[in-house]
Amino acid sequence: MYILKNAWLNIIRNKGRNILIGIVILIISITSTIALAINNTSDKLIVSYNEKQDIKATIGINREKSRENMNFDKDMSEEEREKNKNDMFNIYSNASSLSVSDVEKYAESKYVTNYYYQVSLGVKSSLEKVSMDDDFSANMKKEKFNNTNNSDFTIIGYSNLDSMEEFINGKYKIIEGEILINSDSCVINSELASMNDAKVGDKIQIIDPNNEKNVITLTISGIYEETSETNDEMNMFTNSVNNILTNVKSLDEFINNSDIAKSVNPTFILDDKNNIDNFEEDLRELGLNEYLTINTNLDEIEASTKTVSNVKTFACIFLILTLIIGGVILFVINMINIRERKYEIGVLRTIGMKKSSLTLQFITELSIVALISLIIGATIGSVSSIGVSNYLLENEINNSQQEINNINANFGGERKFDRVNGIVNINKVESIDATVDIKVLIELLFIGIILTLLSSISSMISINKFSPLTILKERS
Amino acid sequence: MNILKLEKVSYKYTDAKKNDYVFKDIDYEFDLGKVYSIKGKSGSGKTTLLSLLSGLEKPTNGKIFYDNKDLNKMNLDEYRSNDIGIIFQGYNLLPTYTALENVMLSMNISKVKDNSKEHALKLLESVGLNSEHANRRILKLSGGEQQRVAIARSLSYNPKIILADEPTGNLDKETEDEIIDILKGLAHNENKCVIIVTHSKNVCNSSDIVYELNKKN
Repeated sequence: MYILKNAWLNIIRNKGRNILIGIVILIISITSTIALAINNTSDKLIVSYNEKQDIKATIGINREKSRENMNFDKDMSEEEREKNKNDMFNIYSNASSLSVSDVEKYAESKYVTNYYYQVSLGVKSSLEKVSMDDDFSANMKKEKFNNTNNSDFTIIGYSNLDSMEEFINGKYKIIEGEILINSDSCVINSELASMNDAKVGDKIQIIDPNNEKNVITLTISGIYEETSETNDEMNMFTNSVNNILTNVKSLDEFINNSDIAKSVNPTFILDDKNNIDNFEEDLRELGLNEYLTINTNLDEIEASTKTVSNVKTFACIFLILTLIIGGVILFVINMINIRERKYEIGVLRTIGMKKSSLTLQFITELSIVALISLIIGATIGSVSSIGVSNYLLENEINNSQQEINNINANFGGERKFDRVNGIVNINKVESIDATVDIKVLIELLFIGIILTLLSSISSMISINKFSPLTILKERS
Repeated sequence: MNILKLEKVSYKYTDAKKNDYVFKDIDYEFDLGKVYSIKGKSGSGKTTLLSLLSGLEKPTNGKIFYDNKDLNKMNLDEYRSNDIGIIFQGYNLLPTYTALENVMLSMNISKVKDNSKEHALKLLESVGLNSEHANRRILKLSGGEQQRVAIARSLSYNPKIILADEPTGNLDKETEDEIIDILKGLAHNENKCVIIVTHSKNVCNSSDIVYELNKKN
């Protein structure tokens, strides 16, 4: 008890010395608090992103596997080459011919939390098609559906709104009406609507090119346009102008009565990024073709947190540098101080104070100064760090809100999403203002203890090195 | 029975030549209730002898016994904080503390039962310092007052032996007499063994026994 009392007395009676030490520790604790808080906030953001971003898995051709089977020797005859080419084409065709029932079967995997898909097929319509002025687009479509039907339009059925990725990523935007996913309705391209003088509420017919008796009638619920930024050169060849978008339910009967080839593109939402391999294993057991593979959006998710990760790294480096420089300064100050206090050590040792008690007293003095500085530093640091962290977060929140707003606008109507297809309204991220929490405080306390011990090393050496008589003789 | 006894005690500095002893084969005995003076020329080893008696240094040869116990085998921190009180010519008080705090600190280090403020004030009063002096910082006190504080501090844990190194060396004649009276009182009235290292004839004349230290020893 008297050690604590003495330590406090020494702090009070040697204000200059202790204020200097206090200022150094204060600066270290402010910078450390900010760095730790940024680090903590970044962690929370990354975890939040990772938790709220859906892990999407799609099924695609395994190019590597296909290439392994391609055998085009130099010495190969033209006939053999053609045969191999056809074989490859068949492999691709078989592999990519997923059915809706396949998708539903795969969706039963325990790792799938949700799924959606698109079904596309070439059809005729009561509308007049927009001419593409070249045969490229027509050939592309022909190849895609692997048949020889003379379809003019592509009808795409979406299983739900999540599957309408073109509207989510902003490629398409509703300019009139809205998307009604649960009725016999469709949306068409603005150019197609203009050419046919079609309006929202008009009815159109979808006709099977192989069986003209197989017809369904859909009501136009909205008109969309392709946004200018996506009208790049490549897009010209895959122009959606003759695409009619509807929901899969509207197409059920039409598909059942038709023999035309269709393309099914599923997307599975997985429960955890660590289950991607397990999911693939499940699908292989359920019969997924060996030439197909699972693609995920994991890289995209990691890329989206890259900026935050960089800030976190910067904060860590800043913290380490602060601690090294601060630690060295503290050590030097204490070395100078201890020269002044040698006499005190001599007197106390002469009147019988044990080395251990004396060391404890010196450490207690530093601990009290460090604790006061840490409390003040943590308070100042937490106030400052809330500003810094919130500035970082605000940008992220604004970006995500902007994205959500844009998506809502793309779908038309009064629709308000909070979460669409992996894009989350970050405004919902919880306790983001609590940048200096108990974890930061514990880390700060740990830093304080390290600094105190580091600073005490010089006094410990002096107490143990000098005999009291030598100190007092030097004084005399 | 001797409270302190030196048997064939010799001392030389670690870097000294082979036979260059500060003093050699000293046999001194000290009893309770008496004032001893150790005199000698400068460099004769008076202060060194006091350092040996206080356990701050160890003899090169020979043994020192405290209450029949070999000092070498004792815990010297405890010995210094309980059994002996040391008074220096330069006082060796903590300058940022008050007189009272210096005395109380010593009491706390020695873990004496009665470590109250009242007891410390009584001790200061017994050496002629009132409560006003007690609450002054050391640097605000005169040399004589500081030496009184040093005496009060050395008495704070009621040791059997008081070692004083030139306790009146920095004081005027009148104050010297007052300090001698206090030290004599401690020996004769409180049955303590007071050992004073001094140049002062006045101190030697006031002592019960005088030892003279020279190279011949």
